[in-house]
Amino acid sequence: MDDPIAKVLDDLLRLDDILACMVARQNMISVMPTDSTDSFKPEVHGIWDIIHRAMDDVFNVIREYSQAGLSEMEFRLQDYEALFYVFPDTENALVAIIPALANKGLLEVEMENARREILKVMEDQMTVNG
Amino acid sequence: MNDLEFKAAVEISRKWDGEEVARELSDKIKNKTTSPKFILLFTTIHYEKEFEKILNGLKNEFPDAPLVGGTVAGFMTQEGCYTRGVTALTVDYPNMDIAIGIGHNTKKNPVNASRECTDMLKMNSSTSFFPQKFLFVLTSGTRVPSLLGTGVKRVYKTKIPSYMLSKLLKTSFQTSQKGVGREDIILDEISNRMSDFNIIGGSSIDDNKMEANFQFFSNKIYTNSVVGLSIKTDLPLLLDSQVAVKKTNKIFKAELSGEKYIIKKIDNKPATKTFFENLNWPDSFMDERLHRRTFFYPILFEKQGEIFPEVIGGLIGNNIVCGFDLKSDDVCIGISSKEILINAIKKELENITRSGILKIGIVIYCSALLETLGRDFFKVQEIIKEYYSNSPFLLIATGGEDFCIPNKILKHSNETINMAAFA
Repeated sequence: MDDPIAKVLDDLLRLDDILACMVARQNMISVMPTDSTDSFKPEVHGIWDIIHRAMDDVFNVIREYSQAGLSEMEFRLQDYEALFYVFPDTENALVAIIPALANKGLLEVEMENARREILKVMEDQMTVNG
Repeated sequence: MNDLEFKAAVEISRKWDGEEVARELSDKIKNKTTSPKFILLFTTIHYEKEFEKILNGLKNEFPDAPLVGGTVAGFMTQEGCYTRGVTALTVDYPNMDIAIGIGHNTKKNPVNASRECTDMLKMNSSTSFFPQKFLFVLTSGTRVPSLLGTGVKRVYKTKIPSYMLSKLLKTSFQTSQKGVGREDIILDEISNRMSDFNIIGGSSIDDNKMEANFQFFSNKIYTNSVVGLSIKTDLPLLLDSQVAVKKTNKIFKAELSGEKYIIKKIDNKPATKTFFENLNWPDSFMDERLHRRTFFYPILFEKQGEIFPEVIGGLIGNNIVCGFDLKSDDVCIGISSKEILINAIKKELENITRSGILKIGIVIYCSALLETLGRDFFKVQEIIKEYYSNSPFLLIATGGEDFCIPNKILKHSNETINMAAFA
């Protein structure tokens, strides 16, 4: 069955300036788009390993402070930026890699829509699982 | 007021396929009204390949409803905030006369385009005597030209003399219809020719890259055009305009180039260098990330007591390129922030709601403000929803904003929030 969270990520990835996106936590990518890293934009493949390592360090901070209300983080690496939108009271975040030159404000609106949709899916799943 | 039935819908679709978008919007509209008097349709640039299907689908369902619209950077409704999607605003009310018009080649000949548009609006308009006259306009906004054959860039470190830059940009209007939108000239002409109409409008734009924009007229797709929709009605019309920028004490004398939207000198010194020095910005800030910074620091001039913020569109050598003509050489650097912006929208809503209970409203909101707010755009939605209660509203983010109340105010500007509502 299609994962509804992967579907949200698929939609986000259709935007030109979303080069890669996923739901992740430290040392673990929880949900990828339907075609996994194959659907990432080609330019991100060359730096994916280093970004992935840097992400794990950011998740250290998220793990430490998410309970205290940390909701958003970002870093710039070479010509790219990684945005982290933390799901409240969890150590999970929606992560997107965008070009450093992208109009970030506009992308943030769709990132927030995706975060809200994923949160709703998670809540629905929790209700079903009791 | 009257007891006639007023129905309105502001609907959105997030589907990707044009036919599905049209079907979803039509179904949602039909749930609220079966015979809309008009349709205002806006999409983000992501739907460029789907425009035809969307427009044909809507025209098939609502053949009698005049339709105008175009691309915008984003939009907001009661339902949510989006920078990807399609939205439609419709109204059904008996005492409402509608006309639509279009003018072409806005960059090559803005005055002619305005005349073409207003002639059509006048020709299609009935001779009804409804007291309220309202005009919505959407003009093709700036399309960044490729100067010096280096692709689309907003920042050139090359030292180009301002007279040569003026020539290049002028040639660009004629050869490729790229350059600034010339919306100020268009608004002046339209307001002259429809002098008893209150006007609200904006500049069509893509996802703030300013590379392409499109206008819709009936089921046809255009670019470099101005489209208008006029409404004559007996419903009270409420209007307000707020600037989301504050003045700083950095005041200058600007020396303009032949093209009045190019500043070549500030206080008799090279413009870009002086602007950077005043903000204590290093040269390394002179890159294609320019807008992320300059949106917060527009250039302001004043005319007849009104503040006109200008977003810096490009830096070409030591020339600062703005979005429209500076009407004064006394300029200052403005400052924008989330707090200033949220206070401006609250003030606007208080002014508007003081005069009546809102039936429906449209807000034209600068796409630069959307870029600066990012995720906090949702906070603006919460504020607007408080004032609109359950009434529908549509906010569109455009590349520039038009506002006119006859004999009171006439302005094309950036970083403003303009609102029109029927009560």
